[in-house]
Amino acid sequence: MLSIDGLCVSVGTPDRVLDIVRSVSFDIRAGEVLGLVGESGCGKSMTSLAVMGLLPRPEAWIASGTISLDGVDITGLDPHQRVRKRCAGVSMIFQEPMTSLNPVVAIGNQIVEAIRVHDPDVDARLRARDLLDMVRIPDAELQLNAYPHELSGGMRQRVMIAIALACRPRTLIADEPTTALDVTVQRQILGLLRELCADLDMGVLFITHDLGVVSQLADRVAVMYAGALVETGGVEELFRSPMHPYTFGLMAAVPRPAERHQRLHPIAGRAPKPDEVGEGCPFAPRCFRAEAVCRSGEVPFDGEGSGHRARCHFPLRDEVLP
Amino acid sequence: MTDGSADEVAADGDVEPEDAILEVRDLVKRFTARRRGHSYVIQAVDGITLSVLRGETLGIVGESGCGKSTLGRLIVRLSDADEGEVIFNGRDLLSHGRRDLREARLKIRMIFQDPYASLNPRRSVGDSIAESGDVHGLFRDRRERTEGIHRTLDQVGLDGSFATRYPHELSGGQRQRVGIARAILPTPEMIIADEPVSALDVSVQAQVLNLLSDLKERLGLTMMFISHDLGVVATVSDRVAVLYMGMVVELAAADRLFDSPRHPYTEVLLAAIPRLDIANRITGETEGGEPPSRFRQASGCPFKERCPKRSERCESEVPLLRRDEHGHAVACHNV
Repeated sequence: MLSIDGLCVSVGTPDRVLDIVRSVSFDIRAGEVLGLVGESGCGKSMTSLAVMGLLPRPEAWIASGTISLDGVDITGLDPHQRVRKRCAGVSMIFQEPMTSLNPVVAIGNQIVEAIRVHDPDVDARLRARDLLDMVRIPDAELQLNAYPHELSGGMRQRVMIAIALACRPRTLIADEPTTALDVTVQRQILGLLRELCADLDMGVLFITHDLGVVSQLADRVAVMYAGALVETGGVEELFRSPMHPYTFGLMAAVPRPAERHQRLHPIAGRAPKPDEVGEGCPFAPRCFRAEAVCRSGEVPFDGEGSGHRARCHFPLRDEVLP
Repeated sequence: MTDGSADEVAADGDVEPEDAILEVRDLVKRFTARRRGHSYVIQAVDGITLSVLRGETLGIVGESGCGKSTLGRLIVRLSDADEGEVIFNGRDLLSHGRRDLREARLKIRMIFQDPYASLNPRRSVGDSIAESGDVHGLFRDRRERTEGIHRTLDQVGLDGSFATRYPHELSGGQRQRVGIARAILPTPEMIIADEPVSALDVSVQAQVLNLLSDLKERLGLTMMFISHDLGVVATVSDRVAVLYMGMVVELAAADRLFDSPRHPYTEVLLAAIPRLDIANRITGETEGGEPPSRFRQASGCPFKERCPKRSERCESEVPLLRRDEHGHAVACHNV
């Protein structure tokens, strides 16, 4: 189990320090998909980079909080230190596989390289072929010699997943892995991730801006806004009766093919930048339920016993979508 | 494509030529690419015929490489077609002289996906918006120019202070509003919007889509809305054309297309859209394959490798776009 507790990430600009992830806590259990949803700039990718130990230094750092994997504290360790300490159980895949793959090295050798880092004794070539089979690349033996540009976008993302699986991770972080893909290919990659999650009993942190994808893929959902979690819960409860007005607003803003020729329901204004976040609830300026109490002080993160919680003074109860 | 397609499409139920503001006939665009020492010809747009009716929004959907953006660029002649006609208000734009083309360019305007890439970072928002007016001599004096800029900013929901700002000071949504302002300044008749909201977050995307539909209403615009996002296209379109490998495979009223799709590819596409739907879980990988490489020259139906309804005829014969009595057009041998 990957546990993140009270994670705060700061970035330093020449004139000041900004908090871009503010006290984020969640667990990812084996065999489940946790969907982390939010719009651009909300801090979801920074959260994942902090968990991976890949924050761009020296500009960004973990200000406080702990990250632990199966009880071992891995806060602040970079990937090399993790390999040395034999606790490399978190892998990550990114949005654009072409920029993560080396264009002049055959994919087989790139997978072999990843295997050798973690498992120097194994027959790496054989394991590379098994990994390609695992991510359902046809003719695995042949494809080991292919170069990234010879593969389609979907196949490249499968190769990235194979490389990510080389270290036998307990948790896979997928940061917008299907955003650059066409819908029919996206559907296949999502299906593959779901199957791998079950077959390997691996936890998946799935980061996306797409509520539709999350509602169909995730077991639990965390919604992020302006650097903080605003709502968490099981996928059914959260989408059936969203508590936070931001979650509700996002759901209402999604165009639905079934409802045509209707005006959409946008959320007024825009999300604050990190230097614009002040006292109180950061969503208050855009919120239809905000009152004076929302504009100052801490907002409690409350909910029922079931784990469905929202950071809101006036959570919604069974509101009907417009 | 094949001969006779024009006849098939002309046997068209609801679309009378006099209703059309824009007609595209047998449009073809080829690109030559070299790969491993061989030259390949890719038919990016492979014989597209369709009409856009005055006052409607025609949605164009398809996956990457289907030719949807190329189609938009050919219509406004950002790129030159190899064959075919583009008839706008009764005149063929492709055989136009330069002078006539300048007029047409004020009447058909384009909105792009990434306004940051299409705005000059060193020009103020006001100067960018006024550009078409400056180039075409639409302003008699400075006062008229300033009025034009402010009127247009107001139409897209930005206040006059934006005129002196620069692109880097704006949010994504504001930049796209500026992109729209540039398009509507010379009071066009038609807008071609190529993925206008794809770079925006959902909450802002809804604002821009509502703005586009308001402007369409108020200014009496006709719109061609190109997008890979079927949810967005369903929301804005009156009719929708589905493109695959440079061809129109289905064209129908949005209601018909989304409620009773007929082409097997449209069915695959609709089934794959992520929907806000907790009852419809993704449990495993589906069949269906990926779009074939555009480098491969194949005969017959472009969708045959992925098609569950494939028959022998599909191997050799390209299906023609045929319309039924409701104006629902499908290019498939087996529906």
